[in-house]
Amino acid sequence: MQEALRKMEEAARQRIVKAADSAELKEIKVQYLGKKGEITRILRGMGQLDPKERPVVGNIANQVKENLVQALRDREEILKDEARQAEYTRESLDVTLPGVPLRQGHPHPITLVMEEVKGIFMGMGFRVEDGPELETDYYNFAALNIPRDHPARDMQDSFYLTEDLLLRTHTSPVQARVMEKMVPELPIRVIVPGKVYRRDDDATHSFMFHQVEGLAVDQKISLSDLKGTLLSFARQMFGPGQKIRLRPSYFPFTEPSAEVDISCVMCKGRGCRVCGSTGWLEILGAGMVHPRVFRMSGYDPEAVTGFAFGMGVERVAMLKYGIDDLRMFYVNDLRMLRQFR
Amino acid sequence: MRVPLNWLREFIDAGHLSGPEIAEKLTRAGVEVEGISRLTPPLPGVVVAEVLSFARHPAADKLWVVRVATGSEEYQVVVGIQNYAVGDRVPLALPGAKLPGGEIERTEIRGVTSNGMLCSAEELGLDMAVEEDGILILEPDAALGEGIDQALELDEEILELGLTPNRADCLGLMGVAVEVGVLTGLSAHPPEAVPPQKEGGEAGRRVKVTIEDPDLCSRYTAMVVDGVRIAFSPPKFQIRLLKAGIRPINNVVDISNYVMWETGQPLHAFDFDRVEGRQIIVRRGRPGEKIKTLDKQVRLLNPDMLVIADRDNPVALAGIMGGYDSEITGDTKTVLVEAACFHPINNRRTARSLGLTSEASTRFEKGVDPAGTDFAARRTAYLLEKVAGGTLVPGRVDVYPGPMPPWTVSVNPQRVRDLVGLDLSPEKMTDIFTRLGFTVEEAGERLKVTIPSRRRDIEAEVDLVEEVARIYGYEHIETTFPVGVITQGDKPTEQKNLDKVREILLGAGLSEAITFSFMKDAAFNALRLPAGHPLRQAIPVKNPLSEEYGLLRTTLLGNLLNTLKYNLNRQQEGLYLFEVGKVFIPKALPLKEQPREIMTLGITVTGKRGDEHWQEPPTTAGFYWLKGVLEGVFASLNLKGFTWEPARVPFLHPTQGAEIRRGNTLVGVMGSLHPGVLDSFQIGQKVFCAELDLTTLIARTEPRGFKALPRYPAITRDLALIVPEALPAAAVEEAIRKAGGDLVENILLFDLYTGEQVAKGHKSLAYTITYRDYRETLRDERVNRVQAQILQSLAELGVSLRS
Ligand SMILES: [Zn+2]
Repeated sequence: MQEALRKMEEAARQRIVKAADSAELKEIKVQYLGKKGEITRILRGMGQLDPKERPVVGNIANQVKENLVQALRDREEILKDEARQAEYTRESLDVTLPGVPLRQGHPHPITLVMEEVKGIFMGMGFRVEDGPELETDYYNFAALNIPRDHPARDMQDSFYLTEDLLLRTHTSPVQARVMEKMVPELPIRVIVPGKVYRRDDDATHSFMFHQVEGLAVDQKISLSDLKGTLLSFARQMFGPGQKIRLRPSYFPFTEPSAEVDISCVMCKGRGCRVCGSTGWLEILGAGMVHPRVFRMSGYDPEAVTGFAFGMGVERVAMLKYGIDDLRMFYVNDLRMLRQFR
Repeated sequence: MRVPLNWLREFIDAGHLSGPEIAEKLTRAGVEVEGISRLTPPLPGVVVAEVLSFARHPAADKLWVVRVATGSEEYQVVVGIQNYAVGDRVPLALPGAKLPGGEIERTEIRGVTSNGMLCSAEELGLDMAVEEDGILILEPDAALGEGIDQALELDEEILELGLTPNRADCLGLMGVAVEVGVLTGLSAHPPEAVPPQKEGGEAGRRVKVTIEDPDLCSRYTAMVVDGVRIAFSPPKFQIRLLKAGIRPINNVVDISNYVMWETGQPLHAFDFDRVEGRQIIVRRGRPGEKIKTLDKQVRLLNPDMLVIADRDNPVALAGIMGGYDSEITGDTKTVLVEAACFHPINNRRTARSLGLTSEASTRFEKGVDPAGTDFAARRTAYLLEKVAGGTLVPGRVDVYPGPMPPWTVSVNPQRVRDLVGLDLSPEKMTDIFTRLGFTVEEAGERLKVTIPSRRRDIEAEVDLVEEVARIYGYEHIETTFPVGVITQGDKPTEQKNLDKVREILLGAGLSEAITFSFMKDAAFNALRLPAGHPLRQAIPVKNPLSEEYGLLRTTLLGNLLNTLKYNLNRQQEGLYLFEVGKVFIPKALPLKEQPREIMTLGITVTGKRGDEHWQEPPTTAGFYWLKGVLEGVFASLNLKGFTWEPARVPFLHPTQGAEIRRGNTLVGVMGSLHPGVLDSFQIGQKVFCAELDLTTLIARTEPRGFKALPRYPAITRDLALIVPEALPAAAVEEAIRKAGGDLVENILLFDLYTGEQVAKGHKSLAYTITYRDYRETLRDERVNRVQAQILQSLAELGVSLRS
């Protein structure tokens, strides 16, 4: 009987291993382990055995049963696995096919740069302010210490709408507006991004362009604070190794005044065509708020000091992205816009 | 201001400093050197030669065979003109020399070898005042064999100063020399001049000067030089003027310009014999009076203009241009030299109004040092004697009604330290002022600084602060951060909201354009705006760049459509553009006050949205896509309560346009562009557009609350409705909402059908309605009841359930 059980187990195993699918396995299970299966059939002859042998045979029968159950389970696993593998093969993708495009729009590079500039100065405690693009002569010039017939008016040829109203030639009028609004409060730290207009039109001048103006007023603000603030800006905007250089200059509404250069972003200061082999690029004008400007907006120049600066956004964008034609910004050629995110 | 370096070195012994070194020092001190140039490109192979002999060409009437020597060598050249004499020094271009007109070769001209070419000024690229077509005759002391670059100092470096308007003192080489002196510790010295003249004297007997308007002319110094011989100036003299950027005319005019360049003081030379009555009267123009200026134009004068007149007539526009009738001619024998100081603003106004600006007027309008007229006149007289063979008539006439008193400005050294952030002692500051030629007196805590008249720009304490900072050197200023109260960086609400709008638009696939804030009148017609339409009330620019930019824009659409067109012409077919910018709406025209500046969103979309893809092709622009974008914009601002009403907007398709309102306020329009507008812009495909007034939409941030998640399940029901064609969907939705009350959580239109399955004049709208009660589990019976109410009220609108 023991022999018969072992033989049966071997035969069953052979079939299990060869079974092609789970239906066949079910069939095998019924044939050997079912109520009317082979094992039951063999065990029916137990009665003829020596009672001492019965438990031994019983044990063996149980073991065979267990073995076959396990074999069936194993086979089932293998079949499942094989089936899945076949499925995988069927489902295989060409991962090199192009993905679905996001189809997002593209920001204008000027906006990108303005937002970056705003972000940097906001990080330094500056509040963003806004002002009208169509200004009065007073705010655009007089309040900035540029009276009528001042030669500095030649530096900024203007578009006039009436005798007294013009398109602002710089964002500086907002300086005066902010101070008038704030006086006598301190400190003031604002930046003013926006469009400005000058009656110039050639390869290096656009009659409309963008500026960011900055103004800081407090009890003791110095030219060295201006230098530190702008150095920090230059490093955040153009990279940690940036240097800046201040050169004395003249603006009617600041004194002392400075032109501010950054080390050339193209050649890292070694000298190249872009920087005219000087290693420096002029990016903004700045200075200490002129006492007359303070006085006109109601602050006492003996009690407060401040710095102001103004930069051309197009210039910064050109340097940052390596754009060499100013006109590109207003043509809005999609082939250009698509290069920005 | 162009500064030829050797010329500058005549006023300061800075021979050991190179051009770039001087340039660097000046730039660092705020006198920016924008570049270093030279007058002509190098002329290698052109040397100084002496004419040994000349004879007619044996085989050509108009040619000459000239023998010349360079000292060591003799050459034979064939020349087409004969304006030289034996012994004259001339420029000889040897074979291989490169001239502006090309390279010189050895040639044979009718059997005679020509070993080069004798050059005219023009052939050397020099715009000199010389006899036409003549060979340039050099000075007799030109060194034989020397290169012409050296002989004529054509290789001289020229510093190009980009002067700021406050530094009028550097509009003369002497002023620049003073500045270089301050920066180097060297001392500047003036050029030679005739000695100071007694007031009056013989000159005083010869000419009478009257200033009728001393407010417009603070000083008038006149000298008389007799016996001048008018000629062209010597070549080197002329070349200096060319380097300064001034065209040589004749020796007397050239000398006055030369001295202006040296001193910064404009000078004028009159033919004294043509000054009637031997009188100079500085007065205002008279109504109806005329003057013919040097450029032969007749100019109408008025009392706002200052003139120099003789007894009878104006002979010059003061400080701007001389008169034709008193100009120096070949016959001039006696010259009246004028060195005067005219009022900057009056001078500027007159120059502007006549459209006449000159080197002289630029200097007057920036301010000329009244203390400098006498020296400039004496220097001019010196050169008239030396170069033009004249003789000074002893004495001078100097009318100086109110001599400018010396002025002092006091400065607090602590103020300098505070403003600049420099730790400098008062002694150091005093040293800087002294180097600048200022005199310093201590006055308690403060320094009292006396300013020389050439530095009229120093008026207040802060000007002295600047002088200290720039001479000490900005590069020595530390870098620090403002200290004190901490301030919070922030953006105004409007800008934060604008950022949200931009983000939504970019995410939706729209790209940002920035166009000019101007438009042209013709755009109104292109947009089909009828006469009197509010958008036609645009503010005209008084001095536009061109008609193209003649008006301030009242709409962004014209510019956006031009941008669309530009890109369509460049094979870009799917174009999704937006612009955020201001339009300018006047309260009244003609403009009296600042207009309303309305932040406006303009959108134009056409074609496919984004790139093709093998699996998910892009969608095509459509009305409802664009409407969805705008709804997204409103949602991002957390704004509700918008209504869309069909509207006839001139530039929109008559049945595909909408006005968008929030409450009673019109916030924008959108729709399909009118085919007629497409025609005007020559666009051959459908375009959808929108224009929104953002100013009102972004003014506030609507608080965004959180609604607790529902605890009870919802029941959804699909409703297919047969709706009369003309009934807008919004009416159906409104009826559902009204009848359904709070129970209706959401209404979603998932299908719209018109066609055979639906009766004529009707459409089928299929909705999924979500019902929910937030307080308890909803039962079917309740939903059934509510839905019956809904159907009943829909029936009143002629809407029935689709079977
Ligand atoms: Zn460079």
